[in-house]
Amino acid sequence: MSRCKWCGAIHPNSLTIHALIRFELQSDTLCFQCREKLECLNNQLTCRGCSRNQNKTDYCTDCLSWQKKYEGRLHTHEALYAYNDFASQIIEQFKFTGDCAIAELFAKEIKEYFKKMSQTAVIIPIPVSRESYCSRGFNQTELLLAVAGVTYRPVLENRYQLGRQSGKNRRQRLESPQPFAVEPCHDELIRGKAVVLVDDIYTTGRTIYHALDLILPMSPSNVQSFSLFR
Amino acid sequence: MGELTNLIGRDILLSELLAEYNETDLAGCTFRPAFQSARRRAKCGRCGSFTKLADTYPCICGNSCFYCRNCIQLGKVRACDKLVSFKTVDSFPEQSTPYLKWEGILSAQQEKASKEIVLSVREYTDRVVWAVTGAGKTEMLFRGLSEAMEAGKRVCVASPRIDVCLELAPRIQAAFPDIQIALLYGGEGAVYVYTQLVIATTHQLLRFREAFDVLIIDEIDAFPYYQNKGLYYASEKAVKKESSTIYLTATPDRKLQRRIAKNQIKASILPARYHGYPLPVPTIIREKDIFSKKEFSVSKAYKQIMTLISQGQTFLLFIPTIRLMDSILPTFRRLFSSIRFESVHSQDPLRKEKVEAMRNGELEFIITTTILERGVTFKNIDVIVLAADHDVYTEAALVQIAGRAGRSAAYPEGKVTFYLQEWTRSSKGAVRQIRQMNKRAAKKGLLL
Ligand SMILES: [Zn+2]
Ligand SMILES: [Zn+2]
Ligand SMILES: [Zn+2]
Ligand SMILES: [Zn+2]
Repeated sequence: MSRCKWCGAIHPNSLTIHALIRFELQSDTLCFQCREKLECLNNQLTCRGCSRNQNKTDYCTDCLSWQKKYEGRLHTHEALYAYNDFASQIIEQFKFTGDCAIAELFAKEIKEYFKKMSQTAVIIPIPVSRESYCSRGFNQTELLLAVAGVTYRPVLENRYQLGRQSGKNRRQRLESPQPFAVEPCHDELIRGKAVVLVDDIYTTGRTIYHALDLILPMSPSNVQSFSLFR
Repeated sequence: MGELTNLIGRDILLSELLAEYNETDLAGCTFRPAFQSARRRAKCGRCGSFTKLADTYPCICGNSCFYCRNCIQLGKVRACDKLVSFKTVDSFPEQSTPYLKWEGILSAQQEKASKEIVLSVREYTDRVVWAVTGAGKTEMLFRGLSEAMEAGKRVCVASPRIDVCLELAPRIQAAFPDIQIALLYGGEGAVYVYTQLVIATTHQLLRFREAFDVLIIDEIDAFPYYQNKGLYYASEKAVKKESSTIYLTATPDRKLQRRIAKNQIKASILPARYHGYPLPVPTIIREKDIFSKKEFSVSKAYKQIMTLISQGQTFLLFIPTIRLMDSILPTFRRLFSSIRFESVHSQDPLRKEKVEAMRNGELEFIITTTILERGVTFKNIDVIVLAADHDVYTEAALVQIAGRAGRSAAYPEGKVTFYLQEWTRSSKGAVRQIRQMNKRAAKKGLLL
């Protein structure tokens, strides 16, 4: 028996098909009811560009408009779960209430995701604003990676105190100016390498594309991005 | 700047106070470390639960600190923080006596319990008031509250359930119109002020330390035992060393029943309803796999439902979980297409409206999860529980559910039916408890 890390309910160790195949009896961090509320994106029809949940695999309107802006550059973003009501409760508790242990809920999935990456890939988390960092004491994206045992390089800095993205509507988000900066000394690290930008949630893509604007001129071999929720 | 009086008997994080207070303002306060460490674990000073020392995360202090997950909804208790309290003698503005302006009349058994509560308050002893559903608990508290406050004591009425607090507050305020009440339930935007009378959820009790001379906890049975452990910690921390705690319940758990039986805690037992009719004893009907039947219309439950509808008898139909309710609803919509009924569960935003419609006679029945198990009363209602042997039903829940029937003096003989495949500890215990209370009431001559 183990305790659900979200709702606290005591539940029997789940013996999933997955676990059976690998002969491991590992207890889930979530109970069955909570696990069910997470909407896994990888077995659904999603946009091939950003993992958005839709009824086809073509590029969504968001992706098409980004492609237009970036002269046909085809960016790939992958996400694990849909940002549904349950996910937003989890994020609220994680970021704003400061419940760091939430990072453990996704450690296994995140670890598995990055396992398939090349060893030399440079994994770069999106930074949070200085004021968020001071009031929370952590960057949620870095914490998700750290708890999953994924090595990352905090190359991007957040120079501007613009308040948090979550307080803005869609239009305000799309119009927000470049909040990040990167020291030229990181050139070496990035040139010719595969880069993965990581964020906790992908909403409009604005944040990821801001980061892209700084990373692309540093001549990486390839850039893609990843988030927990979409 | 924050007032120091607002910290009397409180237990607040230093990090939280620094937004309002300078450190020099807090000079007269007592400071405790947020955690007490013992071996590999540390005990949270606010809620008493344990955290592993090794579970550290990056912290606002720049180091890695562990924190308490258990009470995080009240604000994060970090290892590097401190808990602040201001200790001084309570003093409150005096009011015209008697403080109590309520002039209602108590029944004989209420009168007796009321006197016993006054005595406990006076003598600083604990007491359980075990009153059946529909006995009229709130009115019995008034004299005890009045006695305590006139003596300058600080009093808190708490309940694990927000709706109970919200319902109690206006009734208590009406009885004590001159007394300022602080109502704390976590959802309020209101600023905390120091008052003689506090009405709070038991969760909010965690923000107090050695604050109250009298603590009354209503519906202590509303949560399963493992959550009650936290409740007992909170209540013990919130009261002064010399104090009186009164527990109110319609359905004490077995542990408390044993303590009462062994005289380890004083008890006032009110076995009769105020109208003097016995509690309805559930009728048990054996029915196998009620939810997996191919056709609900061949079940015994369906027959009973049809009979009730044809008689014009309104009823509540309890279903163990939301999921089972969702699975059976299409069948019900088909079978009862011409009947007015609604379904209600905890996440239903229209809960209040549907209950109101039922009260106004606009519905024949309501299908509900345990959400309507307590607090809600209807005048003339029968009760049916499908799968009463399901895990979600504790003994207390089943007693409460059965207690929905026969509440009004005009219709004291509501019928209760439990459909089950096999007896469980809870269903057996519930029927035993109801029978026992009726027997007690008869013996004391409290039944008509
Ligand atoms: Zn759970
Ligand atoms: Zn897309
Ligand atoms: Zn705690
Ligand atoms: Zn710290």
